Amino acid sequence: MNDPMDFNDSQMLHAYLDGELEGAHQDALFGRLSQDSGLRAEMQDLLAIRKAIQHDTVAFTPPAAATSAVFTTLGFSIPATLNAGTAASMAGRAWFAAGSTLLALLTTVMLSMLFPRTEAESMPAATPVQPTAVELGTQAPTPPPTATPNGHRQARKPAAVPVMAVVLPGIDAAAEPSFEEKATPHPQSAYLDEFARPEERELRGIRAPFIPYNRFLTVENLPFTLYVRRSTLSADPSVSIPSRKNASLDMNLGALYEIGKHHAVGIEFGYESFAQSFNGTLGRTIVRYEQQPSAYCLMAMYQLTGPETLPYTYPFVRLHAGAALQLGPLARGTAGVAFKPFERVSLVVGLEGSMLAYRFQGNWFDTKKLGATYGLEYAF
Amino acid sequence: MSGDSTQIPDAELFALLREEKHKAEVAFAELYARYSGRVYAYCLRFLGSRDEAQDAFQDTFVRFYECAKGEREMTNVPGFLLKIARNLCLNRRRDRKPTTDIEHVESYIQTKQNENTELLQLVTMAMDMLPDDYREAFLLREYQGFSYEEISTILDVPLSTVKIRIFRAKQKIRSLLAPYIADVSHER
Repeated sequence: MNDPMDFNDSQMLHAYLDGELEGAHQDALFGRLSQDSGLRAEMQDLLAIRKAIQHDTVAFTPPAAATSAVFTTLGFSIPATLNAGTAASMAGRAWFAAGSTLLALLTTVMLSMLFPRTEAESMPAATPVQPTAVELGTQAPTPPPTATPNGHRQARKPAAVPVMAVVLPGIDAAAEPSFEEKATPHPQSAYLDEFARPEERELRGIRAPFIPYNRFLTVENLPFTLYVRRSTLSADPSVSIPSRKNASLDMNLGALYEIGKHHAVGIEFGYESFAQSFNGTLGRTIVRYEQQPSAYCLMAMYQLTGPETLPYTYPFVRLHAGAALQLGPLARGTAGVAFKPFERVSLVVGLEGSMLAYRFQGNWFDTKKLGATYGLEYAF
Repeated sequence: MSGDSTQIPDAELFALLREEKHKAEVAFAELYARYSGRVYAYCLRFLGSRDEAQDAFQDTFVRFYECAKGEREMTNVPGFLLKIARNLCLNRRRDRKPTTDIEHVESYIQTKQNENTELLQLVTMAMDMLPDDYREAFLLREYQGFSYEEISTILDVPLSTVKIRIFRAKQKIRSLLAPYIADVSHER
């Protein structure tokens, strides 16, 4: 636009704003602008339109799904610098995870308050200073409340160990009629003499449950724990298709077998849905698919249980590996606490993350879930 | 390939797309980072539908990579990308059904709702009312920042045609928005 005769003032203005007007014609334009208020108004309008376009951030930001689709189609991994679009959802998940942890801790504290320890349970187990030990013979005292997650298993150990009643100095043990109420059990006294006859125990004035002689032959003698649990896992928020899962089936059943004081292995069976979002081709078009199928899951697991941290509370970590039937391999990790106010029953809360891998049109995709889990355990 | 890929010129990155996978991947990611926003903006504002724009955008980069394997030299990568995007968008406009289905309407509404700037909403609505050839010239100028000469090359039309299309597009948008621009601009 170099010939001023070719266009009018308006065209000159447009060319100037587009950087296409040479200096020789700019003077003419400036002269017209100083005289023509209509031309100035037009310039202001054009600048306002341009300013609005410069704020068109929606248009200049490709959706994260589109970026993912491009790189997946070409077989490339998405660079971290381009993955900022998913940062918001990741932050949301982090908040959710932090909230779940807080919830788990609050639940533990509340349950501790709801089920306070009795006075007897609160008695210190420490042996008094300079105690006098009096051997009472082979007995079977009631095991104290479990001091470890496996305490009730210790109580079943079929070994005859002399029970030691510890009394305070200066007290005649033989003259003390109700020593079982005051005595602090020696650590070894937790071992039961399962072969002692009930009448013999009664004679010794110790209230102990009757244990049949053949107990060690029953299935109850095996260190099994059964549990049922549910999860509130958040899935891919971009999947808008709802799950058609029957909510009443949304639970997992599991069995754990202790292989050591802190170690257990087991299996878990459950039914859950997986929000899936993946890209594929339909003809020559790249298509984003969404679905939320439900599937039965079968997993092997390993559990590591820590020592008692808060009253009756035991932290644990559980790792699962298995498959969601007809979908793909499934891995899961759980970290939580088991609240054990009773000998056999535990309430379990924790944080859980899982990842399902699946294939579509020769490409692998994954679905991640993160959330809280809660359930009940019963130890045999 | 070592060092900072952001310092490598377009032409070199384009040449690396023909190299082994790792190098091609790094080069592609860098070119994508540089131009994906402009390509998506063109697709979205030309087609007006987020879903259609997303499809055209994805196809553009896939086709760009496929073409890069055969091309020997490339002096204007953004121009090449925009040419691919333009062809894909034109095909979609041509194949678009005359009746608008409900999904398209929902997508359109959602796209507009995400644009929380009132004047921008008005501008995009005005753009949608332009003829295709005016709109694409306007987009290449205002959204992509191409010079008239570059637009002439991309559209494969004479320079004078580009000038007049851009001018008329702007005039048309201004005439549609003039009653609102002053009010909206003052409210902001």
